[in-house]
Amino acid sequence: MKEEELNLLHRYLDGVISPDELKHLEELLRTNPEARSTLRSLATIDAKWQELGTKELIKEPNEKRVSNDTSPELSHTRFSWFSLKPLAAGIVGGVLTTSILWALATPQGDAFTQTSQKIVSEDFEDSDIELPIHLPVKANQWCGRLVSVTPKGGTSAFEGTRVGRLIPKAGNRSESLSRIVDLHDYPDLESGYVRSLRVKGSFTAPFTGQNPGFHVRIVAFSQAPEDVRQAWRDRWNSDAMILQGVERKHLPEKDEQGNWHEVSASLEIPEGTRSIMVTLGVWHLNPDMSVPDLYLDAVQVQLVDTYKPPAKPN
Amino acid sequence: MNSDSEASDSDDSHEKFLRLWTRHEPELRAFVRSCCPRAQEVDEVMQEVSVVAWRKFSSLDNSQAFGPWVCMIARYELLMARRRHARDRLVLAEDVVKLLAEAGKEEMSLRHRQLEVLDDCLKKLPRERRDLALAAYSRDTSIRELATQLGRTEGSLYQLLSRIRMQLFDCINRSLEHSL
Repeated sequence: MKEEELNLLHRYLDGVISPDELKHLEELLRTNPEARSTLRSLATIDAKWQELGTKELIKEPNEKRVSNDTSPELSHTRFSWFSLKPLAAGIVGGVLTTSILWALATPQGDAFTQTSQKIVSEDFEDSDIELPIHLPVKANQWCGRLVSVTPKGGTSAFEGTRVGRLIPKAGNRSESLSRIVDLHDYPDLESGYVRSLRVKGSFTAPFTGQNPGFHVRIVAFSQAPEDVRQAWRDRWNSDAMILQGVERKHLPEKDEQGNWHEVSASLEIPEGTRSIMVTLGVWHLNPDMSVPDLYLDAVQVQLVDTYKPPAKPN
Repeated sequence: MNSDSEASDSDDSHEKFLRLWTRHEPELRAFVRSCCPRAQEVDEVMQEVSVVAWRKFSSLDNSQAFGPWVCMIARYELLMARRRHARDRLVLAEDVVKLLAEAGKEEMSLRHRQLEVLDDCLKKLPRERRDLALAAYSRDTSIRELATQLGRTEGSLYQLLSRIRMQLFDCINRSLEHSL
């Protein structure tokens, strides 16, 4: 291959190729099998660098953590493929509502008092609502393919007169609405209390004839809100990004699909949490079918502080 | 079948999937990278592929065919990602992605061999070159920041990275020729 042709491949892989250069590259790739083969080989090198670059990046903090057994970061865990195990077991075993918890055990004790603070209450009554469609990069903003509509097909809003309608992109098997809660916006936890985040929302898919599932997910991050999106995208490749997560999935019976279904989840917020991503969504079990339209209403997010008395001496 | 045995089957299936995914993930990632102009998009596509592959895994009769099978899923997800990003960034034309993906699927075993010899080739690189490449691909440093740190222009840094890439490319080809 000529030097300038190789340069096109490098510029493509470096992500700095110009529109004109891309046209040249496309023509080259269409007509030259050697160019296609070389690109695949160079991409193999790039993929390896990317993998090694990620490993190098996370090695140092890991080593520091291991050297300090008392660090709260030791309780961090990450999303992994093993998180699919209880989900699969739940569905195969005929359990229609199942939740997945990625975490080490959190302390359980007798709770005496609770204070709750409703921090989000969303009924989608604003007909002009316009949301960013990508994962959120700042706190206190819903993101997702959602519009406010008056429900059709004989369905009434769960609350108010309008509902949120999630509009899955063509070909997508899932669609969701997300929001980040920044714990810096709220008072520090008092001594002796543990704090939980509770999320609930009502779902229906009234006129699809399909069989969608609904889910509510809560994930705790140590990162600031602006870094959550990247941490979420990196969850397969690195640890110490996600502190803890819980997901509740609900699969309605076929004859109940047109009803409203309230799905809720709660997460005891682990130490070191800065941001929490809340997600409510729909998915379809058959990946060959697109996700149907979905109505969502009455979404509430609460912070709940629970007093946990110190253990009694024996 | 009772629920215990169903759950046990599911556990076995999950473990089997994990093993196959782990074995094929590096060459699959390389395959995906050739069709994604931005390294960051590789993670996004790989995530989609893993989710779909797990959902469809029960339909795979022969685990020997996992590589080509998961490549077919990746091909579809690559085209979907291309359509998602076509409006707001530079992407390869759909017919080119299909061409790359089609042949890429046939070359999974070659990818595997390339990755095997690449480890040795990386060890042969001068340490400063290896560190530079790793720094360039580290997520917490942009090329601009790295160029500033090194007192270089971005252009010269990209040229240097291209040379390192070609050095590894030549090393891989030589190693594979010798192993034949």
